[in-house]
Amino acid sequence: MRSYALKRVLLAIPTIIGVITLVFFALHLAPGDPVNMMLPPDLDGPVREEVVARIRAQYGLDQPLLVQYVNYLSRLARLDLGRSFRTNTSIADDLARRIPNTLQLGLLSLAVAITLGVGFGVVSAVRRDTPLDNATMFGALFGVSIPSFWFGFMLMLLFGLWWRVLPPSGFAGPITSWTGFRHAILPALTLGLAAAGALARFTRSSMLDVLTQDYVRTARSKGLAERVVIVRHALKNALIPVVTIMGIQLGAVLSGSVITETVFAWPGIGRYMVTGINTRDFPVIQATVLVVAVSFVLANLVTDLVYAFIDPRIRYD
Amino acid sequence: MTETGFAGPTIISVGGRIRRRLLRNRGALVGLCFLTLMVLMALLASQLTPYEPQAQNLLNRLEPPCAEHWMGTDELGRDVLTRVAYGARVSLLIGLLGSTGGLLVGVTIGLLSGYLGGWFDNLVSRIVDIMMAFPGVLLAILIVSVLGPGTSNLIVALTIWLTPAFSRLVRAAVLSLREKEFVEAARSLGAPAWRVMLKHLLMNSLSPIIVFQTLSVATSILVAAGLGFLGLGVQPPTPEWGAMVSTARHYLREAPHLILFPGLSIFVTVLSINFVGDALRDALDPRLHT
Amino acid sequence: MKKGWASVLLCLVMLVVVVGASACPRREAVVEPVAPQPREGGVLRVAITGNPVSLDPALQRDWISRQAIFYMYDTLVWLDEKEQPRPGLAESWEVAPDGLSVTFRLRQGVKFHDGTPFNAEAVKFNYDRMLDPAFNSRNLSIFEPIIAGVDVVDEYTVRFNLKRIDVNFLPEVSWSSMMVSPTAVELHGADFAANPVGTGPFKFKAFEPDSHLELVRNEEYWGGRPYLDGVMVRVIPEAATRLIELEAGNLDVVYTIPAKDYARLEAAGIPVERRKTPSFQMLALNLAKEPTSELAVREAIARAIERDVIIQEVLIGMAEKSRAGVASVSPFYHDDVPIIEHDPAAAERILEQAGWVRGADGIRSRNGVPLEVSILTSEHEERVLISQIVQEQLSRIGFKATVVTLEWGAYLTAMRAGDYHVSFWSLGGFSHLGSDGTANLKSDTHWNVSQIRHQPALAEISKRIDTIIDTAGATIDDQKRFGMLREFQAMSQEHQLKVWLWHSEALNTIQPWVHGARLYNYSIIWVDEAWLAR
Repeated sequence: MRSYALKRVLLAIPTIIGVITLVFFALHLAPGDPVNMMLPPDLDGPVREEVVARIRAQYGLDQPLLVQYVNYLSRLARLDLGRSFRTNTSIADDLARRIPNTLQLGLLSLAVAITLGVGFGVVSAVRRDTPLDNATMFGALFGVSIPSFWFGFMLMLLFGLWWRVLPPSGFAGPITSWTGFRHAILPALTLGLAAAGALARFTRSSMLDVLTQDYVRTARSKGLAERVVIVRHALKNALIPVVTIMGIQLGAVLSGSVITETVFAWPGIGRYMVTGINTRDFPVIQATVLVVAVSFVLANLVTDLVYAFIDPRIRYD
Repeated sequence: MTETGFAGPTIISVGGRIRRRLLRNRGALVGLCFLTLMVLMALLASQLTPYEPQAQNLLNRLEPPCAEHWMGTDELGRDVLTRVAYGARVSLLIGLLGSTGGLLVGVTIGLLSGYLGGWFDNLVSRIVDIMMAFPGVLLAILIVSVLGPGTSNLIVALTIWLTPAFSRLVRAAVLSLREKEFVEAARSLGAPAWRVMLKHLLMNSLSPIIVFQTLSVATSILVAAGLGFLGLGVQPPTPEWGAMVSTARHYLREAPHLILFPGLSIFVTVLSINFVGDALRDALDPRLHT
Repeated sequence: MKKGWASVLLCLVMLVVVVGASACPRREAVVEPVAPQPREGGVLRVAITGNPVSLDPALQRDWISRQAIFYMYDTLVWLDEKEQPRPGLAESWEVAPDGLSVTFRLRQGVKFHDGTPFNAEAVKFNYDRMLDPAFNSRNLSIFEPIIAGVDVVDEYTVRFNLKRIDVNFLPEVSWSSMMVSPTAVELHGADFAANPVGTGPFKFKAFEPDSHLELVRNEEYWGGRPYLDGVMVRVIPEAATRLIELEAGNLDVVYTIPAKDYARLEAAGIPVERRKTPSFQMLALNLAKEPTSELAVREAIARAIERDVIIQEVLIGMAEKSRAGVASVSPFYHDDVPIIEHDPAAAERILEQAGWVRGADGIRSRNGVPLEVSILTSEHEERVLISQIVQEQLSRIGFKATVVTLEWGAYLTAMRAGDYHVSFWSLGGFSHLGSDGTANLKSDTHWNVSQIRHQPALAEISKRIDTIIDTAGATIDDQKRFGMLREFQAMSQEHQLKVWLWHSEALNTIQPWVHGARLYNYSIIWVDEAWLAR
């Protein structure tokens, strides 16, 4: 177990370095001069040349690409993510401010996803091929296939405008406060529902798998109540593989935040990245993609380790 | 998805049974019908209505559905039904080409890395790890934001995005098959490597590939819609469902039909593909063969 | 078991009721008193479309940033409806007879939010800071060619020495002279933008980027203590979200309402203020690239665009058809410049005469070369929409037109490189001869957009335009400048240097319960005297 964990941790390191390299070169080989974004569009002539040269020098953009790469790595090693082209603020500070916002939204939506996904998945499997099962699976596919921004606007119209029970959009502090929580409900639902669909389908098939296993049959034949069989024996084992896709679900939530945070004016890293993409703010895109990817790698690492820990059947070499 | 345990080159004889089982599945049948309908709509788009997909009529904008325009008109007075039909061409094409691109590249890489092993396998696995480190559609967003928006760039992005998943899937299947007797036998009989890879390894890991390919057509269509929202999808005035849905959000209040019809098309297509994919999975599952 | 479910259900119902009750909109009908008495208290909620670039006024000059930070600062002067300067932090000013210096008398007793006094030293400090190349102020490129230096005459008198006579100096000062506290700048250095200190009616409290900017009353505001407790500026990028919040009554002031939503909002009892502006929208034509380098092609394009219909149907009538780039609200408007109307028959005739003949597919060509143009646009919703209309209307007269959509940065690069034929372009700013307008007409700046300096056949015209702009800037006599602008307009129409489209109105909402708010400069709302009637 310990050596397996060590190996997984060590393997994550080259992955992270690879991610850094990939993002850096992809963005720096992209067409379109980022310096344009830092200038008023009407600025031209000799003043423009001068300003462009100064900005290039200031951001080290006048150096050869490889030198820029090495500089970037050495700054990263000092946890310096650079400064935004557009606002000239420290990206590390910007991210530190936004990560908790996205994390709160992510956790809440993950809670939504797990409650609905696992709940409906189990019910669906137990009542296999009943109308309930069909309706649930239809709903799950619906959740997966509707564009999340449409769903977001619909929730906003229903709860925010027509019924006026929840604030339509915005951020009002951490979700530990009542107003903060109320503001987080609609975006979390939007984000959570898509993930719930996928989770429900996965839980259902995992549960069906387990229900045909010998030990479940044994438990049944011992005359245990069906509910006991399902909760004590089947569910526990069925959920083990479900844990493995938690990491992937977290990824879906992270990348889904790009759209949801824009729709709901939520100041998280998804919104930060969209602004970065729209304004070609390379350091911002670079840093955000990096942070998201690294946290995803770490989340997967943790789920793998948890999986190995809770499922004793698994032996790795 | 590693239930690729069934051995032996028995694909042909299984084929008939799969088809029978597929057709017995009601969901799959409905799905197939809808997909046929969509494909027909795409093929016959020009015959379906008297309108051109780009023809504007600014005096007749945002009309609700009526006798002349069954699905109403959009923000430029174009006929929505015509655009949905032509959009089927673009959207299905994006879905098919994107996922097929991922399939071809991914399967090739996966086969080679699983079969050859060694440093090549190591290298590929590392690269796949790196690409899988981008959660969800992030990698696709990154690629399109680098290449710039547009239909072909979108397809390239989808291909790159899907490649690692295909590759990992095939590699796992190949690893489980590599040491099987019939593969060993073929190799000891002096069959060339490409033959072993194609005939024995690939043919026997087809079922998860087919299932995954089917589902990734749906995913590709959805990703294209999501990128449309960020302004990174198919560019106007090309009719594409995702782009139509994302433009329609500006008219959500005064013309809700604008989002309804392309949205419904996406939903029905994705749903149908999923039904077919699920049925395929069941039909191809060796454990249910008995 | 059953009981358990029932109680859960009951809890849920109660939760819904509680949530509902606590959030019920307090939307009693607003009873207007006969003569409304200003009421103290309340926070004004404002929505803007994007993040301010910076809270430091010297580091930004765009509208959105202005709409966010304006409440914290004051300018030396401001421009009224007639574009005449009015006293702000400067009580009076005097232009030297030679036009090469301007002396401001400053208001006395004004304090920055940090308690330090506002005086001539502070003004000098602010301008020295903007003129320091190392600071990289967005105003540097504007002031560097005009200002030679700033002298402190006495505690409340400051003199600007100018490099040249420039009629745009005062209008520019009205835009770019939000005064920041020198003490705060020295204290915070590069972090001033995170701790902004000005003299305005509201003080900085907190800023959550991409979410909101929170401001509180400046008790000692020189213009009188504001009625409002504070201002909450919300950043809401999605138009649909902004409108839902507005209709839910959660916003008091919303900038930039889409024209298409005007009627619905009015019907819902939400007033939208329409304001004509001198901003102009046009089609930039690439004068240095085939086929738009050809006069006949440009003339055909101008006659192909159905402006009346677009204005009526797409812009819902919220724009004025442009005569030649100058709106009727501008003091520089005149109606004796020919207007070019939609005339597809004439457009086709012009093309036929130039040898562009329709082929079997309806596309015109000459000597085997198809009449092909690319319409470049950035991905902004309105621009994409207009570009598609232009594409369709050009293809009706036989053009093979394609829309190329690029993200803003790539779009600007393509424009500068001349990698386009036609592009929708919109410029705001003051009057047409104000600084933004003029700067954009010179061959080395705005004409970059039309690539005029790369077109040898138009060299004479290009030179003449430059001369007009340069002399107009140094001509104090309004009548003379009036004549110069007319000459420019005539030249632009004669050679069809661009296609003037229209002048969009600015649409903003101020809710009925907000009193005393004033719209300034078309798109900024002053709230120093505003109060809420609910």
